[in-house]
Amino acid sequence: MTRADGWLLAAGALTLPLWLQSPYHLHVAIMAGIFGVLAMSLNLLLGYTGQLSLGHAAFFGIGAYTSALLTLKLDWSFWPALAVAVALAALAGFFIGRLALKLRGAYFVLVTISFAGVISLVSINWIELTNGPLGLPGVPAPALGPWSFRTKTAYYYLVLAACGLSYLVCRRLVMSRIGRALVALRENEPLAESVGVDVTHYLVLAAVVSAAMAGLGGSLYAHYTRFVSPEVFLFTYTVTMVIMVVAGGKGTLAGPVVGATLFTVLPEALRAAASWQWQMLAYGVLLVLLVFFLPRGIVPWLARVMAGSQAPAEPDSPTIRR
Amino acid sequence: MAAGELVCLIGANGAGKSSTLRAISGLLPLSHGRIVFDGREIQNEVPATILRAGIAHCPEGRRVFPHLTVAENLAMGAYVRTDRGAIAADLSEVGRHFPILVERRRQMAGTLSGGEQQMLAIARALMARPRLILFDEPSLGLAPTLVEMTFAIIADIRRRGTTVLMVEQNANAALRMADRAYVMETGRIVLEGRARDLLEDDHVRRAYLGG
Repeated sequence: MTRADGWLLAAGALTLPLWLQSPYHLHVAIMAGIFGVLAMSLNLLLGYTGQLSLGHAAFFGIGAYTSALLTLKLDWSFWPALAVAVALAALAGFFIGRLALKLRGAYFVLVTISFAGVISLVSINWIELTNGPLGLPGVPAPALGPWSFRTKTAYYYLVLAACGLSYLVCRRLVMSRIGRALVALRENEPLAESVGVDVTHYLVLAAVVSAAMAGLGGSLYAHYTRFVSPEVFLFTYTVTMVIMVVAGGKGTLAGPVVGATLFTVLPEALRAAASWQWQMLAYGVLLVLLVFFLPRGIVPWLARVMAGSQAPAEPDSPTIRR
Repeated sequence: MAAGELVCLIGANGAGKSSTLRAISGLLPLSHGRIVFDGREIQNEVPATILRAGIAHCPEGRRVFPHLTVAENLAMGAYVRTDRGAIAADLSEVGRHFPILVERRRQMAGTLSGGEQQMLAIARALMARPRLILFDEPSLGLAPTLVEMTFAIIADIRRRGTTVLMVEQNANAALRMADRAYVMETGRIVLEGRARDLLEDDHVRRAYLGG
């Protein structure tokens, strides 16, 4: 992508509410933005450290509940509540990282799933605090001075800003020495260790930043839907994030954003085009085709198409086998 | 080991050769015993500290980061260093010895040929500006011509003054190029001496050189 394309895309995103008049379309755009933040968050772990977190909805939910509770019960305004939501999610990420990254791979997956399960049970059963399965209605809309983010257009810009910020954080991280260390760890851990990369340190760092971003997404979600219930911990959210990251292109900066946009818009488009039985079938078939034909995701494929035939062959196979 | 020496460590699979190297570079915690480098005990240090002290480790198996470019792979070799000027100087020095790597610096390391990957792995280790390099099975899985090339490069590194400790299955070739050697069996050193003498030793001949 050239610089001009980038500006065009930015201009498009900034003027979107001008040519998307319908509140419904704007709603889809907002959800795409929130999922964009979540997918970028998951991508830091899955794409750059290679660790699959199947409990990512936990960080999302922690962000949502923290923000909702602070504004509802303590009458905090949105901004400090958002900050605490992000911090608390990051703290959870730190503990999960410390605990789980001694156990890589399948064990990490198990720990994250169980963590999400436990947090979800807490949200259902700690009724005095969370109102249990009934959830917390009436989460206030954010305001900044005299402006309220009550309208969809205003909220769209808030989400867009969060998306942009998350993208910049990811970019900064990935392009730095830290990012190279993360990729090195994903590619060849013994070798990375041998050049002096501190494995635990970097994996925990990635988990913390990732969880913080998921917390940001959670807080934005809570103040947008104005309602939080234990449903935020549903496994579906995690799976959706994984699909977005994998389909968009894990380990790429733009991949999660593309994946999030596609997989928020697509189900809605299908809803308009077909009755619900066909909807899910079409969704499933499309997903299978995508994974089958573009196993590395949309963004790497686009990059290759645009680079033409000069692109070097994919370095797939380790050259030395025992 | 004395400075400037090329020492090899031979022994059967599972004798503890790789573990010895991993212990030296701090990748494997030591339950007891001491490792002294330059008069300093390093057995409790983390890999980064040991690397800064001057010991680089070229592990066995997959030798490069396939999805990083050649230039990035080399930069990873200097990962613990902060002296930018000297790193740049070392980079051009390494480039003089391995011109092919300069030519391919933007290419993904995984797309290099086996021989180029081997050169990259060695060049990466040199980027740490080590005074001692540990080579773990440098010839493993390589075609015979590449084995020869690898040993020539190692001999060259040593000629330029870097001390080398090498673990090698190919005992014959290793003993021919080394000054001294240790023979390991089940975690212990059972024999040591000048490499030339070990080549003639009956036990070594029977066990490792095929008669």
